[in-house]
Amino acid sequence: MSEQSCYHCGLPVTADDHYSVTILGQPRAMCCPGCQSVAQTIVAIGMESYYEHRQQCPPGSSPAADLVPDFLDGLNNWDDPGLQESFVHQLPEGAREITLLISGITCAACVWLLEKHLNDQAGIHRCHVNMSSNLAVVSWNPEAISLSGIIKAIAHVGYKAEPYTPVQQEQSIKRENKQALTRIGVAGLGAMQVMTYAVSLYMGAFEGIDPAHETFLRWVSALVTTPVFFYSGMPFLKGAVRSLRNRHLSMDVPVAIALTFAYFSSVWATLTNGPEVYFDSVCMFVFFLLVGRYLEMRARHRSQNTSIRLSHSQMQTARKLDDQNHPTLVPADKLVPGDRVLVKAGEVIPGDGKILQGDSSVNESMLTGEQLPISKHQGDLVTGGTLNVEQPITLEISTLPKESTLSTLKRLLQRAEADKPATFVLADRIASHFVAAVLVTSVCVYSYWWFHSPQDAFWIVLSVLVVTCPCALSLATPTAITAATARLSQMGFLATRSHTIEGLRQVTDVVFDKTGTLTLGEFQLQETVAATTEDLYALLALAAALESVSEHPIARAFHPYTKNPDVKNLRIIANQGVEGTLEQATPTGKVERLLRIGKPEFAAPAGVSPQQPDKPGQWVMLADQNQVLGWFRIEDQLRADADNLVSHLQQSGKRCHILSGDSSGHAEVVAKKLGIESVISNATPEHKLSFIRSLQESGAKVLMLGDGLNDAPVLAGADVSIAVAGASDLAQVAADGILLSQSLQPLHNILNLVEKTYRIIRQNLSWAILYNLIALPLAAAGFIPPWASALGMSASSLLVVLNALRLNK
Amino acid sequence: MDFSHDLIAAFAVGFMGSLHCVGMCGGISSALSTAIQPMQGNPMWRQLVYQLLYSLGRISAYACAGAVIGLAGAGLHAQLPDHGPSYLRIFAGIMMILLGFYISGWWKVLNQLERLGAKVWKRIAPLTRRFIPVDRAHKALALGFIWGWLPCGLVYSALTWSLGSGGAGRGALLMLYFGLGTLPAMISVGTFSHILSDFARASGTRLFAALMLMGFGIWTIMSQLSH
Repeated sequence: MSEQSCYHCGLPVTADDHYSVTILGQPRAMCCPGCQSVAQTIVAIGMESYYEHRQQCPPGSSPAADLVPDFLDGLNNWDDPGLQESFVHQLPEGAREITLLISGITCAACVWLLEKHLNDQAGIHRCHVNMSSNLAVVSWNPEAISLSGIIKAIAHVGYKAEPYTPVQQEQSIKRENKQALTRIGVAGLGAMQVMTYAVSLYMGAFEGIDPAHETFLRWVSALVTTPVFFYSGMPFLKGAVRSLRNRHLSMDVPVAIALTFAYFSSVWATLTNGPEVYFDSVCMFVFFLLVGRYLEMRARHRSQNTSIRLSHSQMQTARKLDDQNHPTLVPADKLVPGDRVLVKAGEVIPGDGKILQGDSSVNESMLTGEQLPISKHQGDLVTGGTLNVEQPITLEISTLPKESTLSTLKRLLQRAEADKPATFVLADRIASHFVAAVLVTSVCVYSYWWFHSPQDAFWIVLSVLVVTCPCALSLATPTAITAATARLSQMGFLATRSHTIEGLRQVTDVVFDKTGTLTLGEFQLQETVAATTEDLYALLALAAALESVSEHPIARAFHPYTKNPDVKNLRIIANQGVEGTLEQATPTGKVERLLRIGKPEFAAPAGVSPQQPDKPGQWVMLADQNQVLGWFRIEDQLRADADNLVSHLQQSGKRCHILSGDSSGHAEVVAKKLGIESVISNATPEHKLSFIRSLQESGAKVLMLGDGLNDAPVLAGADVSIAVAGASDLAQVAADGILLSQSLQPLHNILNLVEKTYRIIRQNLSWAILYNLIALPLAAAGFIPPWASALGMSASSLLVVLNALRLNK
Repeated sequence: MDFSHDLIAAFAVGFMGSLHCVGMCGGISSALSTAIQPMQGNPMWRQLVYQLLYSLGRISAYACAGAVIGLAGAGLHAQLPDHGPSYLRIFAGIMMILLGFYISGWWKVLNQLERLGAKVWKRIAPLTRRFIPVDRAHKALALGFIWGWLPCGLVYSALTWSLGSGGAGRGALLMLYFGLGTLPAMISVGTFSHILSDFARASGTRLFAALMLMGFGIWTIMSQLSH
């Protein structure tokens, strides 16, 4: 018979125990009369349901088993192409890319180490590790190294990696959380215990303690401190060993040195009846440092929530309809293009697709940050992950889940998270030098005190080692940037590169690429000019009839007007205009007129060189085969917020420019309305680029705003580029940031947030420097007891993290 | 000075032993917390306050028992020769070692003692009904007081210490410290129960606590015999 465990408390029940209580209708084994009594009482007072609801059921649970998941087992499975399909992304030229979730990352040094080690492996093209999200994006050549080889390489330097899926990340957050709490628990209980002994030891020192009792208390302290040192303190010891092995100094090094010295010298003192023991300091160090690190970790997890939220919208089921329109529940990631799905009101849309049936409104806040639902009708495209608000709709899925908007977004976001600006690296290097300086200082401090007051030398050095806080230095920038990125994505702005935020801060000039960035793309007819004596309304009716077949934005300007029903044989000539015929009764009999509307070059009758009206603007020509009939001036509507944005930008001292490829004079009209003086129209991509270059030569930092789809070299030429992109075009976007809301208003807030981010980074760095400058001399002078130094250093790095989190509000 | 060390040791015994009890008493503590009537205010703080009240009641029960036993011990002490080793303390040391065996699960001889206690408990248990649901502070306090009489090998071995303490006041004080030692584990049960009980149930933790207690027992006996 396998070993049973007590139904009440979960401890093992041995064969000779015969205690049992009937709970929830069944006899349950108990380990002792105590549990039996408790269980009987719980049943008797009518709280039997406690057993149903308790979080965790003791029977059969073996907590030790899941502490050591044997993740290297079955590792070769990861090389199976079928399995890889769901999380490996194919890059051009046969390379592959994966996002790995790494456990065990505690500081910037880990990131440095991982990147260095992986980038040295043959076959790995590129590796970026993000400290805040614990994600690594690795691209590799499958012929030179296998995925399992990569995971093994990561294990080799002491970390655990697994392919990233949102569920896994959440689990690993839970696991990390639980382990951290247990460590804190052990350290906290140990610290309390040892403190009581320490107090009586101190008291004893004053009142003259019986040496036998002193020895006894020391032994008990040693016993209690041992698990605190080896179990709770393990993260610091491991971190230090790792960083020493890789010759890169991290904050763990001085802490581990202090812990090790304090612990072993105390054990030695206990064995040999030496003068001082520091068990209380060891426990306090570990406890405070762990608490500080735990809170820091919580903060990091909090800023991860955004990307988890994004991913979460994909982890769900869909009601797939069969031929008889019967819905069956299938996982959303198993949908293929062509599947029809039913989405009820209040449900998340499972994938990108077109509405076949139903009118509803959709909340796209997941993409755009905009909470107001947008109405969607039959034939409209909807995006997976957004929320269907009003009515049930039937969709036809149009993309594979892996290629969907949401997946693309996630990939872009992950890339940005894993990318790391140069400032991080710099801060980390400074921190590393700083640690070296601390180590040297503590040697000097120790020798000084050794000559002046040998009995104080040891604890003073402990304080010096622990009080300094290189973490605050190396955390100052990354935490702020991560928090800012999370906040930005809530505002509907996706920073796809790590340097985006830094770039945005320095912007002096904003260049609007194409007028379309500032306008809605909804043209309206502003003016009609007749070239002949024909009636204006008759002309307009002809134009409306011709344009009725086209969905071109310009053509739509004519849709509201009454059509002349006699225009026939309509034909769209792409990029030029529309032509059609009109039979007219004239005194000489029936005449067929060939009508054309569109660009002047296209519409003008042969041999006639059209003379466009003087007024600037975009003119459309209507003509028949003999003569020009009239002109229509159409104008794009400005985005409602363009005005605001431009004036905000100008007020904050940024210069605005419009670059436009068309020659119609439209750009000038828009610029005039918005008060922008610098306009270049009829510009080729080379022109645009040289314009940006000339701005840059005069010291400007250029932000380029465009649709992001074309003009890649121009976008790349700018210091920062932002695409105002609809979700559908995401995959082709080549910009540093994407404004998903398709509205310009957030840009102003974004720039403000970036400003605030850098203010916080400055505050953080100043604090870190100030703290260390004050704490180090004080500790060296012996004013800071060891326990206070641990408190100070934890509080200092916590302050940095909390300050950064203000951005998340 | 000597007695204050006893107090610290009692605290330590309570602390060590209670790690073992998290599974057992954690259950009742959680069950009782479900009995708290929903009221306004921060649920976590209220939980904590009620947990403290239960424990306060429980510890006063221990102190009462300690007073009674301490008094009885003092009476007994008068009958014994007052030079040489204190047999009552040696007895306490033996109990401590037995407790170590009990907690490690090697030899559950204390179960016999618990069985005796269970008979007493049967008479007391019905009283609990009066205080359920727990909607007032005094009910929580009373319930905790009753809970203090649950059959528990840990409490019994601590009581043998009061036997040798030399008086009602000292016996009560000793049990008070013992109870305070159990406080950290019991209070934290409410807050992060499952994490702690996993940890407490781990065989390593139990072994560690058991060895500590046996060490205490041996030390107690040795210090008496060396007199």
